Amino acid sequence: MKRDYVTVIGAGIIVALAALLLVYLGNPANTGLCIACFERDIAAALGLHDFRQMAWLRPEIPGILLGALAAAVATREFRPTAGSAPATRFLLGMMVAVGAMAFLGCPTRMALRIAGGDLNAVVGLAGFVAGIAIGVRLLVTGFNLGRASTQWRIEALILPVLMLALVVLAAVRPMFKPAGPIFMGTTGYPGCAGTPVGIGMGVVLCLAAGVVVGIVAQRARLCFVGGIRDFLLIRSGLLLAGFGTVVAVALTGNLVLGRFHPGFANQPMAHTAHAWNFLGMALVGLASVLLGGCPFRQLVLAGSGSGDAAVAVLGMTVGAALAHNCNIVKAASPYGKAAVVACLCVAIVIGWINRDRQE
Amino acid sequence: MIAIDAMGLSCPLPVVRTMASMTAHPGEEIVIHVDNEAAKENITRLAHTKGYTADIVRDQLTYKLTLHPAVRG
Repeated sequence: MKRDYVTVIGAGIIVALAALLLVYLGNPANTGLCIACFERDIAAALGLHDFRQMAWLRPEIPGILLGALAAAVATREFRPTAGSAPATRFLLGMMVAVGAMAFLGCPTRMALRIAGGDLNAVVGLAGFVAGIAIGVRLLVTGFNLGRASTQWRIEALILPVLMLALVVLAAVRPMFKPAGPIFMGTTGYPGCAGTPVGIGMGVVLCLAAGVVVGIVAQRARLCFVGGIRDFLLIRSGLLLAGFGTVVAVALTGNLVLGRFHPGFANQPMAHTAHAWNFLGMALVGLASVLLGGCPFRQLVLAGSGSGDAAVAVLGMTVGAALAHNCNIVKAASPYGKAAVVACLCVAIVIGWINRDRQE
Repeated sequence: MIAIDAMGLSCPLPVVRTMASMTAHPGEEIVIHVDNEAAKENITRLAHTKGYTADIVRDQLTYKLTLHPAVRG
């Protein structure tokens, strides 16, 4: 029992330190790690949407997935599986991204925003807990998306190979045609103006940080949704300890580095529309419970052989691109508000319909 | 004996089903088949907090967990 806590807390410490390091290297404030944002930036770099300010093939994402893959293979836990309602999982992944873009961050960034003093993220946390509570209710009334079954190894290696291709593209940055892709933003990544390392070293360091994070997260089963879900479901505080550790270590680091600025107004990449911070994260919490884990955990599961998690990762990437193209971000437009409310309703319907499936 | 086939189910369904069986059939032995390490760990942890002992047999990539309820004295 104690060893479990040491593993999870150790993983939380490493994730928080990696996030602090990545901000030092050039990632945006309170965004050392953000799975949803980074998938959005990768989508922008590939030309899938027009928010190009921070477009960048962020190597942390391939790093986390490949680190998880290495850890799973080394511990003989790598197991190629798929086939549990893939289209539903793609849709749920898209909806997680819509919620994350309304709030401006996935659960990982929410933790880092809280650690930076962004009180809007505390409102987001309240919504996150509410969404997870709805998800837990659906779980205990029999929700499930059906069984995954064993697949050939190649099925589980498709996304890792695509991720390796992203790393190669990030390192080489070929000019396919004068207007892109591959697009590069103007700010918010190692190697852009004013950062301490060049772009080449930035790729190496971000990839390495991602690999380390992926390895420890795979070993500890770290999951930001799982922490609150397991506490509500079985009163287990294990994964919650990981969440708490990330916040505590990042908060301490921010205090030491003078990066802690408590308040609602003028927070980096945030907004003060409380209702939409709440509802955005409620959507992320609910859809993530239905998927079986937060965006970070989906990435780690995809590395551990789950084709279903790989589909969720792709859904999140497409969802983030659509959220920008359809003006859903920050739920500032009527379209954004409508999208968040509609996705919440659809997620509840998905949770309700997929109960007690006959096998 | 209660048997649960939790193979291929997403997290945390193996735990949810085990917990439901513990509530519905207190004092009975429960046998659960799972196909991943995380589910095995989570069920073992649940078993210990609910006063069960767990015997675990690994067969390649699947696990058979036999949960014995605490002997009542």
